[in-house]
Amino acid sequence: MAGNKIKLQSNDGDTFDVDVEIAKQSATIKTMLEDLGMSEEDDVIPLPNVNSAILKKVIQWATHHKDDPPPPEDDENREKNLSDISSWDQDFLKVDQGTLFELILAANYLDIKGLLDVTCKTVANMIKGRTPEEIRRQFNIKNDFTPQEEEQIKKENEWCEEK
Amino acid sequence: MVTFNELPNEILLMICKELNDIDILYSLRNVNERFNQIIHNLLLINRLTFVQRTYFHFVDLISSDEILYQFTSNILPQIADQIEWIDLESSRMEDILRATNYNNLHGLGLYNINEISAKYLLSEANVCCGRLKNSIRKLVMTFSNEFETSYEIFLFMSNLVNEIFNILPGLTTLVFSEVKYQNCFRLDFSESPLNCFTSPILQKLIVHVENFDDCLYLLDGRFPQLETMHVDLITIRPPKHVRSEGFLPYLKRFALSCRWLTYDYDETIPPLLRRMLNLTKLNLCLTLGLFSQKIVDGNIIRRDIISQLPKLKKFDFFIHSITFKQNEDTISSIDDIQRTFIGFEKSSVR
Repeated sequence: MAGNKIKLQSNDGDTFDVDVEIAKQSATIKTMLEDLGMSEEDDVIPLPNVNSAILKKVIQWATHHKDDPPPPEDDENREKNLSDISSWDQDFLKVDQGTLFELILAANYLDIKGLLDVTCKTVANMIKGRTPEEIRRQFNIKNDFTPQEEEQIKKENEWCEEK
Repeated sequence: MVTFNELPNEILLMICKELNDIDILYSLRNVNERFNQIIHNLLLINRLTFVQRTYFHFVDLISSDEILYQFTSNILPQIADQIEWIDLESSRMEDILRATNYNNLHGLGLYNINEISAKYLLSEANVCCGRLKNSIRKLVMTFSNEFETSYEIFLFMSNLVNEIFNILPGLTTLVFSEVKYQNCFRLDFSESPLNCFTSPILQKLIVHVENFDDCLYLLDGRFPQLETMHVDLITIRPPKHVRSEGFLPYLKRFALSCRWLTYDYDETIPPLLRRMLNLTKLNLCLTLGLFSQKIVDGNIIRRDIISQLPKLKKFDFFIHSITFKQNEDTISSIDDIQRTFIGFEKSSVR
């Protein structure tokens, strides 16, 4: 392995040369390198939960954010602000829903907090202000309530629909 | 391709954490069985918060009429029995409190209270307050900064504090708070002829007042069961209209802060604290101006405070002493002052 590069391998066999410092934004990869004794001389780091297209996007995101300060620790009482997504991230996340959800899963698996935060915020923005019916349509979710439950929900909502 | 509904619960919970409880209840409740289960496990519906604190103020989270209608007609009636506390922007008070019977509601946070919402709250004939009259135990209030003069604020606060214990006689906790210190609405009893408020059961009081007399006024026996008091003052001067007398045997926790300079520590603070013979927790934040007195060092704190309060377990203090040029020769060095704090768990003299 040359210099300060590392090879990451997706679950469909593609490998990507990535700067070690960029790859270390992933706490999972950082742990592999530092705590589990893997070294830059090892051939490749396999990432069995991430396909090639998503890994490419993850590396693109990590490269753009390589100089960012570490994201703050989770705080239950922090102000919930869905509008603090940078314009670069907004453009980066203009993708189909499937890609967005796969990015979330990859960010979670690779433990990249910044990417996980911004992708979850993007989905939260898609939810905010919509009714349950709109959410079902937006995300193609099947209504699995029994007819009796559905009737009850309809009754509950009648007043609003009449408004 | 992964769909939304295929995301694991762990991820859905992370997404939900980006939303406030009101958004979750409005948008995800009744989407399907799975989401109802997640919401059931995620939300502590016993406290429903319709406001968000920002750097400057509290913002109403009910952002449209439709959301309000959904809550008042549908969501709240169904979860009412689980709700023990509601935080509300004051303009929503009537809609939300009238929406249903809250049989277990005992706490209210009312934010950005103005004259109109205060009138509603204090109206005896008001249906919702009649319903909640005896059940509300804890009340937190912040105030709208729409008053033009300090006299208007004075009248507003006087009226509020005089009426609140009649309207909600079950109060055990009363907190007047603000996001920003500069916006504090302070109680001032100096000119009010109607200060007849009292409560035999109030246990916790957190308020801002104008001066030391006002602080003493609140400790004149009108709240005999008071256990916790936090008070912030503008000025500390020797009392003029109220005597600092009578033990306060129930008072266990006391915090006093005053950012402005006071020259009257000896005549005010130690006599007040000596009344609190069962105090277990004390917090003092003072700025002292020194003419001829000795600086309040570790020895004086031991003499005036610690030795007078035998049950004191925790005492946090920040005392900023300002001396004047002509006194500089009589003031001990920082090292000497620091030495008087030997034996204190943590102390820093600067």
